[in-house]
Amino acid sequence: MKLEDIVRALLAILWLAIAAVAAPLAAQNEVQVSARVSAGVLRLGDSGQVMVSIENGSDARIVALPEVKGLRFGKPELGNRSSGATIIRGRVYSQRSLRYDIPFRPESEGDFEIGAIRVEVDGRPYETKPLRVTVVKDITGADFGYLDVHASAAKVIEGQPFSIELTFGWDEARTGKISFAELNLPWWDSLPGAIEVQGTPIPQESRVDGIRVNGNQLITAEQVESQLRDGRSMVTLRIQKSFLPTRSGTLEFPTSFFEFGRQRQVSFIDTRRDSHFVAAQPFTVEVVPLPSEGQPLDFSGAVGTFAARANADARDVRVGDSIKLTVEWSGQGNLEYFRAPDPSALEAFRGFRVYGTTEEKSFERRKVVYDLAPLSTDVQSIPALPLSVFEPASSQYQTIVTAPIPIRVRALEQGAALADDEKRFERDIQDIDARAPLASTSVERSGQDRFLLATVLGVPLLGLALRARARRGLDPAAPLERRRRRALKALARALERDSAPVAQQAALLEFLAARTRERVEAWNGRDFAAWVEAAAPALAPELRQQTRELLTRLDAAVWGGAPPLERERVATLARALAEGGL
Amino acid sequence: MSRWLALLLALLGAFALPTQAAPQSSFERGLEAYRRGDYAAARELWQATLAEELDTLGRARVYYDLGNAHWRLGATLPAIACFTAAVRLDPRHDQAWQNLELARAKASLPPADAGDLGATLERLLNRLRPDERRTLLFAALVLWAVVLVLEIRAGGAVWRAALFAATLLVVGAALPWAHGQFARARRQPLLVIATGGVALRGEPLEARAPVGELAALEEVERLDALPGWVRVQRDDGTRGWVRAENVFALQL
Repeated sequence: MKLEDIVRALLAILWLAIAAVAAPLAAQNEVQVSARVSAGVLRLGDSGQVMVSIENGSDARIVALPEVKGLRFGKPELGNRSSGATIIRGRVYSQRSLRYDIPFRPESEGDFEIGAIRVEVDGRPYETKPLRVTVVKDITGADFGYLDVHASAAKVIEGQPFSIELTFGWDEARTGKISFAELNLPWWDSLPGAIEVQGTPIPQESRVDGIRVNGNQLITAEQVESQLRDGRSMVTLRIQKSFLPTRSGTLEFPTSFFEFGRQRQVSFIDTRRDSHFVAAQPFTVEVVPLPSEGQPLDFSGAVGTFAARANADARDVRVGDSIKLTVEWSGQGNLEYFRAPDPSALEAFRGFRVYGTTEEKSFERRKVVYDLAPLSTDVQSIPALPLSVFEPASSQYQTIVTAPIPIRVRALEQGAALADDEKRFERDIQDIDARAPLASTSVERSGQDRFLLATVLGVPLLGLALRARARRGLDPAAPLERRRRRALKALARALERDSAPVAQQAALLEFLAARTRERVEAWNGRDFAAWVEAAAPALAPELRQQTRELLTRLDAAVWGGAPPLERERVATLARALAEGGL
Repeated sequence: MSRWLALLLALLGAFALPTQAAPQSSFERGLEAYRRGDYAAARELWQATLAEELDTLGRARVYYDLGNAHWRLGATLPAIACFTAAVRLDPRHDQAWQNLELARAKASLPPADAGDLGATLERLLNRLRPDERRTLLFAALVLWAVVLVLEIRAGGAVWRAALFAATLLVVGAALPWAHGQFARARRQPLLVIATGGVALRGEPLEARAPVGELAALEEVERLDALPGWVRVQRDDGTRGWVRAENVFALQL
């Protein structure tokens, strides 16, 4: 290799090293954080986005959003994230950028300033510059459509159900130009302190499906008779939701919007909306706690205006016969949530046994079926069943009772009343055992136990000692013993596999090592005659002689080029050695 | 031939002779007394039966019957003591268990079998009678020895695993037996059968101040006895004298 080539190679390596070092250096460019809005002017009801861009930062998060009265911000979502590197004139330029999209929706018209948004980039704090947004009222929206949202009551009692009714629609003359309708309701599925309860079902013939709520939920509205508003006939849809307040406080219903219009297909995959917006003013519902004054001890938790009625499936029965008493409460209130009265705890029902109850609950009625059985012929009626209720209209606790139901109870045929059965069937001890005891044998039990204890301790010790003695390291399952047993077969296989003198010698040495429980290296160059004298004196002299000759011939074949031995001869000698005590 | 004929005739004659009725034992007389409603007499007779040499299961049955007699006489705590003795001697005496639990419930006492894990294990370990425990352990030992011999002769992983399994079996069989040995540590147990507290005194004199108080159905060890008094030892080692009528001896 010439000197010039070496220098060129060194320069190439140096260039690569500089490039490698320059890359991270270039990545340490200054972090830049900026923000912009998707549109500077918005119509009331429309939604916008604040896009926060972070350049040259690998990790970033939005720390805090500014409070802007009249704008409602949504959850920031990580948008685009990109990174790349370019080499310009030998220098490496790397770029990283990521973007957060923060959706927002105006709740009133006017000029708004969105304050600095605090961002943390790679652990360091940054702030964006303030932004400005102008929100204008959609004048045409109010002409072409409307949205009304109102509660059934501005003030309710804790536990008293109330409903929210939404009516919305558009000019009947524009029906052909309306292809979508969407509601934006910030309180929908998000009303802390209240749970939604089942409302009145919509009749099948007036159902209108496909109304979108908050962009991700499709609901069904009820189409009602068209309304005349400002001289225009409006297609009118209605949605009703019922809520049950679970705690006292204020339930807030922020500004609701109704967006409607036409959706156009501008390209194969893209659509565009020509929308109109109308808004409904925000409102609140006050939830006041149940008064503790005058609250009965057996208050069931029922709040509302209820009516009760009861009927029995049988009125002429015998003692102990089952009577199904059906009690039905209906009206306006938390019918699904109060605790039904328990007759077995009432003094008036002492003459009955309550076997159980079954309940059916719905938004408009509560039905409980009690399974009762009269205990005696003295019972003449099913008493009135009371339910303690708080009546919001009068702000008082009241007790609603069912009407008593007269019944006739006839005696059982044998005249025994059911109540007496319990007395008759009281538990008693089992009868005596009449089997005569046997006389004890004279064997002393403690003696048996002592003998058993000695056996438990002695037998295992003795057994393990015997086992250790029998083994003496010659475990039949030990690898050396298995190798010794299998030595003949292994030799036969090795001789069959290869007839070269080297292989024959190796196989025979392996056989000898296995039979003597040694490593094969121990037999390399070993003086067989001397070894036999010392380790296997019982081996027959002629067998010693044959083995020595065989080993010598194998040496000659391996090192002197003599022809290999017959396979059968080696195998026969090995068998004789094994049988001869090796 | 004539000799065989004579022998046959003698045997026939022996059967033909009117047999004399064997004298009734105290147990049988107790049965008769119980059946005619004389529970006090039945109680005395069965108490006498317990003084005899009886096999374990027979003793359990006598305790069970004696408990019934006490129960019919309205003596709930002695009845409970008798049923307790019966189930200790024969843990599979279901009727004794039923009567014991019923009597304890009627006396507003917690059930003898609490039903928790500890009580269930105790019940399982006590399920076998003492003789059965010994037999089980002995059989397991014999099996272990046989497996050991086979393992020594044949060797190999299978026999080693079999020996290990047999060892586990011996340990499992030893558990109920060892449990019984520890449970029988109290040689002369007594049960307190007085309602409310029973005064434990340092000397067998009513004038002596109490050194402790025994609860109803508390089990104590009998150490000594004097006329009308028994010296006992509690689990915490406290020793003292109690009136003899306030304790019931469990002859286990």
